[in-house]
Amino acid sequence: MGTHVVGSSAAIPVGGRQIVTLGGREIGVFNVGGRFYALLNECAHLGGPVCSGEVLGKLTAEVLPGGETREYFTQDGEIVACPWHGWEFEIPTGLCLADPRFRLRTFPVTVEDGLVKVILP
Amino acid sequence: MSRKGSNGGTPKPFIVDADAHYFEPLEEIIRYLPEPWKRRVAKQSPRNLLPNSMGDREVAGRIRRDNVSYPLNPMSPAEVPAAMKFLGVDVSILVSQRLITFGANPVKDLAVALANAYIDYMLDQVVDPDRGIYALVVAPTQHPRKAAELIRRVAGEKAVPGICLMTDRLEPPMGDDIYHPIYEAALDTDLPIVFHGGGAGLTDLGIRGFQRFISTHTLGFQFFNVVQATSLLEQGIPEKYPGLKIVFQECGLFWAAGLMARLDASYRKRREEMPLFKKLPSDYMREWYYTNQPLEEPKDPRHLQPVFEMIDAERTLMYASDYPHWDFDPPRVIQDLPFLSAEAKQNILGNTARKVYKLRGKC
Repeated sequence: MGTHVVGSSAAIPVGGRQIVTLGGREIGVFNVGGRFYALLNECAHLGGPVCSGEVLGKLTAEVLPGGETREYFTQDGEIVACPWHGWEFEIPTGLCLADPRFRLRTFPVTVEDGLVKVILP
Repeated sequence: MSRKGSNGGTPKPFIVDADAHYFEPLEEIIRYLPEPWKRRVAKQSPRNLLPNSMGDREVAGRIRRDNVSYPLNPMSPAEVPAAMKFLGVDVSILVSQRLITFGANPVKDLAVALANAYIDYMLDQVVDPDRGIYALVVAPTQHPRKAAELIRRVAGEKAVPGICLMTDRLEPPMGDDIYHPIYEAALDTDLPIVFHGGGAGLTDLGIRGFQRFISTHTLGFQFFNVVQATSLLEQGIPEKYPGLKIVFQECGLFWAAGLMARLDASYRKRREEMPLFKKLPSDYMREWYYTNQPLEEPKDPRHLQPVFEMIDAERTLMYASDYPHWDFDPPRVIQDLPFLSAEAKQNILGNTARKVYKLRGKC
C-alpha cells in the first residue's frame, strides 16, 4: 500500500525493465519510449512470470488493394509476451492482444526527482 | 478462472503427471544403439534422423523454460526432479521427445533399434521409480513382432508403466490386424497402450498448403487421435481385446466428445459395418482414458463442463502437463475448475492414473 520507490529512472533505460517486489507483490516496471509502466508479474492466463518475457512489437496485418496481405509491426517495444505460453499483453494498458477480456493488473507510476515510484492501492 | 489454486484448507493432493517430456541427448541414445546403427547414426545430421515439423514451436523464440535446458538443448536427468518441483507433481511419466514423430519413419530396423536404445538409456540413466520418475516404452509400430518383443523385454521393469504408440503419420491406423502382436503383448504384460499424437504430420499428408504452425498443431493432434480412435473402433479392437487399457494423450477432450456423438449417429444407421459391437461407440470410448493437456479454453469456460460429462472425466481423465512444451498445463487447470467435486479433482490429478498405470514405485 502507498507509494513505493523502485529506484533511479536512469537504471531503467528506454526498452528496459526491472522486476521488483513491492508490498509482497512482484511487479515489472517498464520504460516504453521514456514513459514508465508497472504491471503485476502474474500472467492473466495461468500465473506465469509474464514481466520477465520478451518485449516486442505487435505483429499486424492489412489486406492491400489487389489482395496481397502485408504484415508489419506496430507498437514496437510496447508488448510483453509471457514465457510460459506466449500470451501477449500491451504494457501501457495490460490488455491481452488476442482476447482483451484478459488483462494484467496495472499500477500507477510517477517519476519525481529522478526516482521511479509505484503507487499500490 | 480464479487466480489461485482452490485447494485452500485441504491437504495437497497427490499429483501424477501422465505425460511429461524428456528431451534426450541424442549422443546418449546412440551409445545404446547396436551396430551398424551406432556408427551410422552418430555421423548423421540429427535434423534428418527423424521427420521434422514446420514452424517454430516456441513462437519465434518467446517461450522460455527456467528450470530445464529445453527447448535450446537436450536435458539432463537431474532436470526431471527440478521440472516436477516446478509443477508440483509427485509422479512424472516421461514420454520421449526425440521419438515423437518416429511413427512416420519408414526404416523398420532403425525404428526398432532406436526404440530399444531409447528405453535402455532411460532405464539406465533417467528413471527413478522410487522417486516417482517413470518412462513409457515406445513401441516401434513399423515392426509389430519386434515391438511385442521389446514390450515383453522391459515389462518387468518397475519404471515402465505403459506402452507409448507415436501416431503422427502412423499408417495403417492402429485398428489394423498387423498390430495384433502389440495388443497381445500389452494384455499379457498388463500394460496400458498410450496413443500419443503429434502436430508435425499435417505438412506431410495429402493436404498440403498449411503455412503456420498454429494450423498444423491444432489440427494435427486432433486428426491423429481421431484417426486412431476411429480405426480401433472400426476394427472392433475393444471386443477383440477386452480388458486392454487404452489412453489417448495430448489433445484435450473436445475431439473425443465430438467423435463419440458423431460415431453414435453413424452407428445407429450403419450398425452392420461394426458387427462386433455390443453397445454404442461412445460406450467403448468411455472405457478409454484421456489426458487433459492442452485443455481447451472455450470463450465461456462453463462450456467445459458438458464435455467433461460426455467423456465421464471423473473416471476417465488423467492430469498431464506435457511440460516443458510450449502449451503445457500446470495442475491449476484442473484444480481451478469450479464444477468438479474434490473427489473428482483427486481422481483426475492422481487416483485414476494410479489405477491405470499400476505404478510400482512411488505412487
